Amino acid sequence: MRRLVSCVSFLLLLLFLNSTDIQARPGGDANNDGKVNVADMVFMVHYLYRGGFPPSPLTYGDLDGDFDVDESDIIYGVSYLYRKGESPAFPLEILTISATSPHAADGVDSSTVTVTATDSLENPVRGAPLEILLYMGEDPLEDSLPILSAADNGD
Amino acid sequence: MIAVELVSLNLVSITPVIFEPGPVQELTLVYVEQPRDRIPRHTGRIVVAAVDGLQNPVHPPEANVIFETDFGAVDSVTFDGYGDFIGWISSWTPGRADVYVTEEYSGFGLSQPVELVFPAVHLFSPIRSDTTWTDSTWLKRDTTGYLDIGLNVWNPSESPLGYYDFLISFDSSVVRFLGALDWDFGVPSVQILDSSQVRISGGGTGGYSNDLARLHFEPVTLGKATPVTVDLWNFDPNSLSDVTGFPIYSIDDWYLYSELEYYEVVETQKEPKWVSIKLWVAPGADARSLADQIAKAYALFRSHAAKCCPMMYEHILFNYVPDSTWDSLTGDNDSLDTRAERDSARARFDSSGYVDVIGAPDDALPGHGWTGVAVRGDAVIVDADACTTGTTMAHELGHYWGLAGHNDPAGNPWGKDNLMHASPNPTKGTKKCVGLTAEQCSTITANADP
Repeated sequence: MRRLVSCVSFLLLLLFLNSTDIQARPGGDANNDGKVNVADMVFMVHYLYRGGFPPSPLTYGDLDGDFDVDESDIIYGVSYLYRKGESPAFPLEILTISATSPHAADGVDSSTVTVTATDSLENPVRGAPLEILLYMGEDPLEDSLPILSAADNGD
Repeated sequence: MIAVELVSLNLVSITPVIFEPGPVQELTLVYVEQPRDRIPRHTGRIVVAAVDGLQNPVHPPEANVIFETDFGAVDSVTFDGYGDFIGWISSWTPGRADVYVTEEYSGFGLSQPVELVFPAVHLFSPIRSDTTWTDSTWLKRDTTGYLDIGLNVWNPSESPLGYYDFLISFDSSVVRFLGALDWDFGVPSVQILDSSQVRISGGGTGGYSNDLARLHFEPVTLGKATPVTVDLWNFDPNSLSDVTGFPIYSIDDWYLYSELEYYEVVETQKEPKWVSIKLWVAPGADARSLADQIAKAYALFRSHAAKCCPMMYEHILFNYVPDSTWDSLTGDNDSLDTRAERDSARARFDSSGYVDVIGAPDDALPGHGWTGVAVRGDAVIVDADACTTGTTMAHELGHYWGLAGHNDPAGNPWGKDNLMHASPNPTKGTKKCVGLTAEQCSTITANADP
């Protein structure tokens, strides 16, 4: 019985630790201390106006989710902390890109490029102003390519 | 390589795209760079692309392009990473090359050979014109304000045709050619053909010669004038150049303006005209006296140089006539007082390319005071001992070059101090008859070719 209790406790501990890890850094945690409070606002003020370090990654400074870090993010954070405003969303954190390789011998002359933008929980983040660039080696060949279509899953 | 970026949030992701083209289906000519458009000018460049059926470039090693030429040599073939194969073809011999381009594995080639022209010499637009500009609109022709045009020549030294020969023509009513300035290298021959053509030729040293020759021009029209266009045209008489028949220099809207007084400009317009004199010294004639007469004539004409009178003495040959030759002339040989005797002397002492001056023995000419006789364009006969301080020689040379005297049917429209006036008779040695009008000088200049 004791062994069974130990096993269940261990699993619960793992589950707790795992969930804690996932939840460890909420959106708006600019100073990466695991919490969103006035210290994050101070950190943002230092970054934006006094040459302080930026949030790392920078997306954690994008409290209002407009894909930019600026004064409006501080206003959003103050509103959240002291005026019952909405909480910062989980920020865009991961960009993944994949592309098919065309084979002209098979009559295929184009590559389909798929870009996925997700937050730290791998939920899709929509509306990011992404630029897709084409390089030959290290030389850019053209200006940014247009995004032709957006999939329902956020791709 | 494809990258997605969110610049505002410093997010980047990159993935490679492996492109696999199909087999080569076509060879396309991208561009040709002729040797004349390059430095050095003995090398041309042909750029082609091997493409598959979808017009995608096929890179090595899937494609390999071969360049072959019937003239010169293929130095190398390079690939620039963008799908272009570049063939470098060179020749130190002037001529035309047909370059055949094929893709090795597919056998596809250009539909026709690419022609490259290797010029024997390339004369291109001068790099500089030294002018005196004020407010960038007016060319002010002051003492340094000539139009000064440098010519650049590319002359391949290894070429058996390593020389150049150009005719530079220009509108002589607009500019006047003043001469060329030689530099330390590759001094060309600059020959004035006429008032509107200059021929520049040379050879020997090869390579690119910057400022090989500098041609000096001055405007013809003086004072403020309407804008004109100055064009120098290159006509290659031997077809050595690839740019024959094209303007090598052009100035549009050239305003001609001078701050000089007109007479000063006239001074610059005089063109010395050199003549050669062959002096036939008869037995018993004083050669030194004849030389003195020529010196006086020289000084007299020189004093009128501003009116374009000729300067003499390119060279003077003294020929001492032997007694036997003089004795063989028609007549009594002691005098030339008949027309037949003088004609005999003129016929005997006749040389082309020279003004023949026959120095007769003292008092050999007919009486009544004559000391000289001239036949226009033929010969001058003077009394060797006469008028060493006078103007006999100059007076007779004036006749030789077409000036009328007071006894000529044309009359004597000039003043008493004129060289061709006979009262007081200049043939008697007076110093007063030394004047010449501009019209007379013009006549002399026009006729001064021996």
